[in-house]
Amino acid sequence: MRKRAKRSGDGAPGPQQKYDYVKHIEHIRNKFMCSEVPMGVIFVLFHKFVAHLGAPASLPLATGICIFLREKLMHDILVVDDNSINRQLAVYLLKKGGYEVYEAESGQQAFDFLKSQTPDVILLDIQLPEMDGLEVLKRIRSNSSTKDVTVIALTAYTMRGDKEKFETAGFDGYLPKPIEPRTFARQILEIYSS
Amino acid sequence: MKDKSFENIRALAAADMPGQIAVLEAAICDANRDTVRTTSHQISGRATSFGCTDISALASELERSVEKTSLSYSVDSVNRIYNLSVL
Repeated sequence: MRKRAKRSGDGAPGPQQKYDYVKHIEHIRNKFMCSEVPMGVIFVLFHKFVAHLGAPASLPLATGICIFLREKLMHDILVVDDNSINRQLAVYLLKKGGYEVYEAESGQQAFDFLKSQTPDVILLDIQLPEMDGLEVLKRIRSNSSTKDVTVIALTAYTMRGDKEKFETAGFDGYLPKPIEPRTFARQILEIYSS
Repeated sequence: MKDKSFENIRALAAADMPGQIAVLEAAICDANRDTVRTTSHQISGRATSFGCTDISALASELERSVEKTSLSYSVDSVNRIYNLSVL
Protein backbone atom coordinates (compact mmCIF):
# COMPACT_ATOMS: atom_id res chain seq x y z
CA MET A 1 0.00 0.00 0.00
CA ARG A 2 1.37 3.38 -0.92
CA LYS A 3 1.43 5.77 1.98
CA ARG A 4 1.21 9.51 1.66
CA ALA A 5 3.96 11.55 3.21
CA LYS A 6 1.89 14.56 4.15
CA ARG A 7 0.68 14.85 7.70
CA SER A 8 -2.97 15.75 7.93
CA GLY A 9 -2.63 17.74 11.13
CA ASP A 10 -5.85 16.16 12.28
CA GLY A 11 -4.61 13.18 14.23
CA ALA A 12 -3.45 11.17 11.24
CA PRO A 13 -0.08 9.44 11.55
CA GLY A 14 3.08 10.83 10.00
CA PRO A 15 5.00 9.15 7.18
CA GLN A 16 7.19 7.04 9.40
CA GLN A 17 4.43 5.82 11.63
CA LYS A 18 2.63 2.58 11.08
CA TYR A 19 -1.08 3.04 10.53
CA ASP A 20 -2.92 2.57 13.74
CA TYR A 21 -6.50 1.82 12.78
CA VAL A 22 -7.75 1.69 16.32
CA LYS A 23 -6.30 5.11 17.04
CA HIS A 24 -7.97 6.58 13.98
CA ILE A 25 -11.28 4.95 14.69
CA GLU A 26 -11.23 6.23 18.24
CA HIS A 27 -10.28 9.65 16.94
CA ILE A 28 -13.30 9.73 14.63
CA ARG A 29 -15.63 8.51 17.33
CA ASN A 30 -14.36 10.88 20.00
CA LYS A 31 -13.85 14.02 17.98
CA PHE A 32 -17.06 13.82 16.03
CA MET A 33 -19.12 12.13 18.70
CA CYS A 34 -20.19 9.29 16.46
CA SER A 35 -20.48 6.86 19.33
CA GLU A 36 -23.81 5.52 18.07
CA VAL A 37 -22.20 4.36 14.83
CA PRO A 38 -21.05 0.79 15.41
CA MET A 39 -17.29 0.41 15.74
CA GLY A 40 -17.29 -2.25 13.02
CA VAL A 41 -18.88 0.09 10.51
CA ILE A 42 -16.24 2.76 11.12
CA PHE A 43 -13.50 0.13 10.94
CA VAL A 44 -14.65 -1.28 7.60
CA LEU A 45 -15.17 2.18 6.09
CA PHE A 46 -11.83 3.41 7.23
CA HIS A 47 -10.02 0.25 6.16
CA LYS A 48 -11.54 0.47 2.67
CA PHE A 49 -10.65 4.12 2.28
CA VAL A 50 -7.12 3.67 3.53
CA ALA A 51 -6.58 0.86 1.05
CA HIS A 52 -7.49 3.17 -1.82
CA LEU A 53 -6.54 6.65 -0.72
CA GLY A 54 -4.13 6.51 2.18
CA ALA A 55 -4.86 7.61 5.72
CA PRO A 56 -4.87 11.43 5.44
CA ALA A 57 -7.57 11.47 2.77
CA SER A 58 -9.49 8.72 4.49
CA LEU A 59 -10.03 10.54 7.72
CA PRO A 60 -12.42 13.26 6.47
CA LEU A 61 -14.18 10.83 4.16
CA ALA A 62 -14.80 8.24 6.84
CA THR A 63 -15.78 10.98 9.27
CA GLY A 64 -18.30 12.45 6.85
CA ILE A 65 -19.90 9.08 6.30
CA CYS A 66 -20.03 8.41 10.04
CA ILE A 67 -21.78 11.74 10.65
CA PHE A 68 -24.19 10.92 7.82
CA LEU A 69 -24.88 7.53 9.39
CA ARG A 70 -25.31 9.08 12.80
CA GLU A 71 -27.86 11.52 11.45
CA LYS A 72 -29.68 8.68 9.78
CA LEU A 73 -29.73 6.91 13.12
CA MET A 74 -32.02 9.59 14.54
CA HIS A 75 -35.34 8.24 13.43
CA ASP A 76 -37.90 8.54 16.15
CA ILE A 77 -38.97 11.54 18.16
CA LEU A 78 -41.46 12.01 20.97
CA VAL A 79 -43.16 15.42 21.01
CA VAL A 80 -44.57 16.41 24.41
CA ASP A 81 -46.73 19.52 24.28
CA ASP A 82 -50.14 20.18 25.77
CA ASN A 83 -51.02 22.73 23.10
CA SER A 84 -52.71 20.71 20.39
CA ILE A 85 -51.95 23.06 17.51
CA ASN A 86 -48.28 23.49 18.41
CA ARG A 87 -47.96 19.73 18.83
CA GLN A 88 -49.65 18.99 15.51
CA LEU A 89 -47.42 21.49 13.76
CA ALA A 90 -44.28 19.94 15.28
CA VAL A 91 -45.45 16.43 14.42
CA TYR A 92 -46.30 17.45 10.87
CA LEU A 93 -42.94 19.12 10.25
CA LEU A 94 -40.97 16.20 11.68
CA LYS A 95 -42.95 13.60 9.75
CA LYS A 96 -42.34 15.64 6.64
CA GLY A 97 -38.65 15.43 7.52
CA GLY A 98 -38.93 11.64 7.38
CA TYR A 99 -38.96 10.87 11.09
CA GLU A 100 -41.15 8.51 13.04
CA VAL A 101 -43.00 10.81 15.43
CA TYR A 102 -44.99 10.07 18.57
CA GLU A 103 -46.92 12.57 20.62
CA ALA A 104 -47.94 13.10 24.21
CA GLU A 105 -49.89 15.96 25.73
CA SER A 106 -48.65 15.63 29.29
CA GLY A 107 -45.70 14.35 31.29
CA GLN A 108 -47.73 11.35 32.40
CA GLN A 109 -48.59 10.40 28.81
CA ALA A 110 -44.91 10.69 27.97
CA PHE A 111 -43.96 8.33 30.82
CA ASP A 112 -46.61 5.85 29.71
CA PHE A 113 -45.08 5.90 26.23
CA LEU A 114 -41.53 5.57 27.57
CA LYS A 115 -42.45 2.36 29.41
CA SER A 116 -42.63 0.58 26.06
CA GLN A 117 -40.37 2.60 23.78
CA THR A 118 -37.25 4.72 23.94
CA PRO A 119 -37.13 7.38 21.23
CA ASP A 120 -33.90 8.96 19.99
CA VAL A 121 -35.11 12.43 20.87
CA ILE A 122 -37.73 13.88 23.20
CA LEU A 123 -38.98 17.33 22.36
CA LEU A 124 -40.32 18.63 25.63
CA ASP A 125 -42.47 21.69 26.22
CA ILE A 126 -41.67 23.41 29.51
CA GLN A 127 -45.07 24.78 30.39
CA LEU A 128 -47.02 21.56 30.82
CA PRO A 129 -50.04 21.09 33.10
CA GLU A 130 -49.67 19.14 36.37
CA MET A 131 -45.98 18.41 35.96
CA ASP A 132 -43.78 20.95 34.18
CA GLY A 133 -41.05 20.11 31.67
CA LEU A 134 -38.26 20.44 34.24
CA GLU A 135 -39.88 17.86 36.49
CA VAL A 136 -40.52 15.56 33.52
CA LEU A 137 -36.84 15.87 32.59
CA LYS A 138 -35.74 14.94 36.11
CA ARG A 139 -37.76 11.75 35.91
CA ILE A 140 -36.46 10.95 32.44
CA ARG A 141 -32.87 11.36 33.67
CA SER A 142 -33.49 9.25 36.77
CA ASN A 143 -34.73 6.30 34.73
CA SER A 144 -31.95 3.99 33.55
CA SER A 145 -33.62 3.24 30.21
CA THR A 146 -34.16 6.90 29.28
CA LYS A 147 -31.35 8.76 31.05
CA ASP A 148 -29.25 9.05 27.89
CA VAL A 149 -32.02 10.11 25.50
CA THR A 150 -31.51 13.50 23.85
CA VAL A 151 -34.05 15.84 25.43
CA ILE A 152 -34.67 19.24 23.86
CA ALA A 153 -36.61 22.01 25.58
CA LEU A 154 -39.27 23.58 23.40
CA THR A 155 -40.47 26.70 25.07
CA ALA A 156 -41.78 30.21 24.79
CA TYR A 157 -39.46 31.22 27.66
CA THR A 158 -36.98 33.20 25.65
CA MET A 159 -35.58 35.63 28.17
CA ARG A 160 -31.85 36.13 28.55
CA GLY A 161 -30.38 33.32 30.63
CA ASP A 162 -33.17 30.84 29.90
CA LYS A 163 -30.98 28.80 27.54
CA GLU A 164 -28.30 28.42 30.22
CA LYS A 165 -30.96 27.60 32.81
CA PHE A 166 -32.33 24.75 30.71
CA GLU A 167 -28.88 23.41 29.87
CA THR A 168 -27.95 23.47 33.55
CA ALA A 169 -31.14 21.56 34.30
CA GLY A 170 -29.93 18.80 31.98
CA PHE A 171 -31.53 19.51 28.63
CA ASP A 172 -29.36 18.68 25.63
CA GLY A 173 -30.64 21.67 23.72
CA TYR A 174 -33.16 24.44 23.60
CA LEU A 175 -35.55 25.53 20.87
CA PRO A 176 -37.43 28.77 21.46
CA LYS A 177 -41.01 29.07 20.26
CA PRO A 178 -42.46 30.03 17.88
CA ILE A 179 -41.69 27.04 15.71
CA GLU A 180 -39.94 28.14 12.54
CA PRO A 181 -41.26 25.63 9.95
CA ARG A 182 -38.37 25.95 7.52
CA THR A 183 -35.63 25.16 10.01
CA PHE A 184 -37.38 23.19 12.74
CA ALA A 185 -36.36 19.63 11.79
CA ARG A 186 -32.84 20.76 10.94
CA GLN A 187 -32.39 22.47 14.31
CA ILE A 188 -33.35 19.27 16.11
CA LEU A 189 -30.95 17.24 14.03
CA GLU A 190 -28.17 19.71 14.75
CA ILE A 191 -28.73 19.44 18.49
CA TYR A 192 -28.91 15.65 18.26
CA SER A 193 -25.69 15.52 16.24
CA SER A 194 -23.76 17.97 18.40
CA MET B 1 -45.52 25.07 2.06
CA LYS B 2 -49.07 24.71 0.79
CA ASP B 3 -49.85 21.04 1.23
CA LYS B 4 -53.12 19.90 2.65
CA SER B 5 -51.91 18.77 6.06
CA PHE B 6 -50.22 22.07 6.77
CA GLU B 7 -53.29 23.98 5.62
CA ASN B 8 -55.45 21.82 7.91
CA ILE B 9 -53.30 22.68 10.93
CA ARG B 10 -53.31 26.31 9.90
CA ALA B 11 -57.11 26.19 9.66
CA LEU B 12 -57.25 24.77 13.20
CA ALA B 13 -55.08 27.63 14.39
CA ALA B 14 -57.33 30.13 12.63
CA ALA B 15 -60.42 28.53 14.18
CA ASP B 16 -58.80 28.92 17.58
CA MET B 17 -58.24 32.66 17.12
CA PRO B 18 -61.72 33.89 18.17
CA GLY B 19 -61.25 32.03 21.47
CA GLN B 20 -57.90 33.68 22.04
CA ILE B 21 -59.33 37.08 21.11
CA ALA B 22 -62.10 36.51 23.66
CA VAL B 23 -59.48 35.69 26.32
CA LEU B 24 -57.67 38.92 25.44
CA GLU B 25 -60.84 40.99 25.63
CA ALA B 26 -61.81 39.49 28.98
CA ALA B 27 -58.30 40.08 30.33
CA ILE B 28 -58.45 43.74 29.24
CA CYS B 29 -61.82 44.16 30.97
CA ASP B 30 -60.37 42.62 34.13
CA ALA B 31 -57.19 44.70 33.83
CA ASN B 32 -55.29 41.43 33.94
CA ARG B 33 -52.02 42.48 32.34
CA ASP B 34 -50.36 39.09 32.82
CA THR B 35 -53.03 37.34 30.77
CA VAL B 36 -52.95 40.06 28.11
CA ARG B 37 -49.20 39.61 27.86
CA THR B 38 -49.15 35.80 27.77
CA THR B 39 -52.08 35.53 25.35
CA SER B 40 -50.70 38.13 22.96
CA HIS B 41 -47.35 36.29 23.16
CA GLN B 42 -49.08 33.02 22.21
CA ILE B 43 -50.94 34.67 19.33
CA SER B 44 -47.76 36.29 18.07
CA GLY B 45 -45.79 33.04 18.23
CA ARG B 46 -48.44 31.00 16.52
CA ALA B 47 -48.94 33.64 13.82
CA THR B 48 -45.20 33.58 13.16
CA SER B 49 -45.23 29.79 12.76
CA PHE B 50 -47.99 30.02 10.19
CA GLY B 51 -46.49 32.93 8.29
CA CYS B 52 -49.06 35.53 9.38
CA THR B 53 -46.60 38.35 9.85
CA ASP B 54 -49.15 41.17 10.21
CA ILE B 55 -50.93 39.45 13.09
CA SER B 56 -47.62 38.49 14.63
CA ALA B 57 -46.35 42.08 14.54
CA LEU B 58 -49.55 43.47 16.07
CA ALA B 59 -49.68 40.86 18.83
CA SER B 60 -46.00 41.36 19.54
CA GLU B 61 -46.52 45.11 19.82
CA LEU B 62 -49.44 44.49 22.16
CA GLU B 63 -47.29 42.23 24.32
CA ARG B 64 -44.52 44.83 24.53
CA SER B 65 -46.82 47.74 25.27
CA VAL B 66 -48.94 46.09 27.92
CA GLU B 67 -46.80 47.34 30.81
CA LYS B 68 -46.26 50.79 29.39
CA THR B 69 -49.66 52.03 28.32
CA SER B 70 -53.23 52.04 29.47
CA LEU B 71 -55.06 48.84 28.63
CA SER B 72 -57.71 50.94 26.90
CA TYR B 73 -55.23 51.39 24.06
CA SER B 74 -54.97 47.62 23.79
CA VAL B 75 -58.59 47.35 22.65
CA ASP B 76 -57.67 48.89 19.32
CA SER B 77 -54.83 46.39 18.85
CA VAL B 78 -57.13 43.49 19.67
CA ASN B 79 -59.69 44.72 17.13
CA ARG B 80 -57.02 44.98 14.47
CA ILE B 81 -55.75 41.48 15.26
CA TYR B 82 -59.30 40.18 15.03
CA ASN B 83 -59.92 41.91 11.69
CA LEU B 84 -56.74 40.46 10.22
CA SER B 85 -57.51 36.98 11.54
CA VAL B 86 -60.92 36.82 9.85
CA LEU B 87 -59.60 37.88 6.47
